[in-house]
Amino acid sequence: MTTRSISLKDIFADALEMEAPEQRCAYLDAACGGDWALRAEIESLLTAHAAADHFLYCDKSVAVRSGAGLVRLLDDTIGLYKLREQIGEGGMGIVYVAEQAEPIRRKVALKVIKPGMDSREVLARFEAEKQALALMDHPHVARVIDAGTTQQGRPYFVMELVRGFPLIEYCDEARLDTRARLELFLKVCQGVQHAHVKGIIHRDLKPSNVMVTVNDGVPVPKVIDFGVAKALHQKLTDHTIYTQHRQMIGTPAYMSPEQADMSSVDVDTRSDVYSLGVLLYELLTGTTPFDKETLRSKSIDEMRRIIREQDPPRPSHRMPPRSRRSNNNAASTHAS
Amino acid sequence: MAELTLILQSIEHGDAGAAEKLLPLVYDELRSLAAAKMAAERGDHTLQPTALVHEAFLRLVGSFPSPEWSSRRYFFSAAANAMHRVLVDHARQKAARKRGGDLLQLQLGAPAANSRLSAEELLDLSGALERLEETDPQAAELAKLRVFTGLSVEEASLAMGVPARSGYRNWAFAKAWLFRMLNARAD
Repeated sequence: MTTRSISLKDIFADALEMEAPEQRCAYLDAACGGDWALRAEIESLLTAHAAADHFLYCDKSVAVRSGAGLVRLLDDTIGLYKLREQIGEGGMGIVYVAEQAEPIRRKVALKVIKPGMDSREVLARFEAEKQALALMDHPHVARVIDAGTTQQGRPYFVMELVRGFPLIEYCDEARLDTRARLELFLKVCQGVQHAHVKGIIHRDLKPSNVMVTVNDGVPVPKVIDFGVAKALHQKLTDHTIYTQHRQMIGTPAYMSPEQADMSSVDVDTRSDVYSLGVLLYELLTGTTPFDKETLRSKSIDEMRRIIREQDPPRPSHRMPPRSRRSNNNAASTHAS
Repeated sequence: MAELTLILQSIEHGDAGAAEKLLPLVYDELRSLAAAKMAAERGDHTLQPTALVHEAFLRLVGSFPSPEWSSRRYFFSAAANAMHRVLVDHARQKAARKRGGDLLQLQLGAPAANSRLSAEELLDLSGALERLEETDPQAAELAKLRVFTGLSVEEASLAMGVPARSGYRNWAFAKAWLFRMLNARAD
């Protein structure tokens, strides 16, 4: 009976493919037998591999030691997309500018989801919506182009690249008055309406998901991340609501009561409308109805209770300084 | 210009001796391209080896139809080795001179922001690759193809004539191994 000799590399690569620690451990026990030196060597390589990956996907400004520089340089392609600079990071994932070569050359936004999400489930949910997402075609909705899994098994989404500012930041920077803000908001609503007509609910409408890009001096808002939030959506339980680093998944300040109520059934378009309401509130007053820090600092039950039961202060009671109400003097004296 | 194409065709037709002609041809081309780039850029001395390899390929193949991967792979193997030599030569010169303001910066792989290696770091990497070659030649070959010609894992697998799955396994091993070796040195 001949046995094929398995190399160190083969054992390492096989072990790497096993996600579950117990499974990996059991495999290494069997493959290494009593050879402790071999086992130690492979464990050491597995650790190095994980560290190399960490440097790649958590791209803060790490001092470039040769090893980190190397892997960041080279692991730059996901599917057909070549990664360029990182442009964002949220609780869920990291966003890069990426270049697509086939079938057409263009730059896109590619969002890689951080580990901790069940990829198959995420992609299955995305697949269900993919057809509808492909039919979306509106100037105020960023198109979702593609989705897939990286070699490390993480889901990624490819979207129309929108370079600009998040909505509220843009309005503040450009010193837009109330009327101008409302005009932009109207366009956002048109975009969301288009999606709703196609049966797509966003589920995570918040200022950072509305990007404003400027074309020929005209600000154009685009809602991004359609389909992503739904695919990533899990029934929020007490267990999953905090990531490893105590970072809250989702943004409670923009969540509708039924979203905050974790035992509820599926949400519908009205949740998006609620979130748009929060957005409008913040656009006009400069603050969300419920203070973000307060919500975060409360226990989960208390946070849900506040969202479901409390009435926030009326916007008119929170109006911003006179200078922002209107550029037209007559109107501002009218408002006071 | 047509010389490369003829050589590649001969290799494809089983002429083993033709492969020997390939390396010097590619090496000369890359060396002169690199020298031209270095002479041209006074300020920021940044070399992009990947771009050089592709430029060399275009210059050597000319307007002939692009060879199939079965023969193109020989070019890339030769190019990886040639580029490696060219870069190490440059790096050794720079390291020997040790002039503070005259750092050789290399952009390996894709031109992502801040992804540069200094001459010293390249020499470390080169040494590590040689050590890897002693441990696992296949993984080292893939790593060299990626580092010096900028091929993706799938392209490098094609160049090596192995399935992509094999390529990914080799890359995972090479990455872990190199990362561990290079960080041990940095400590």
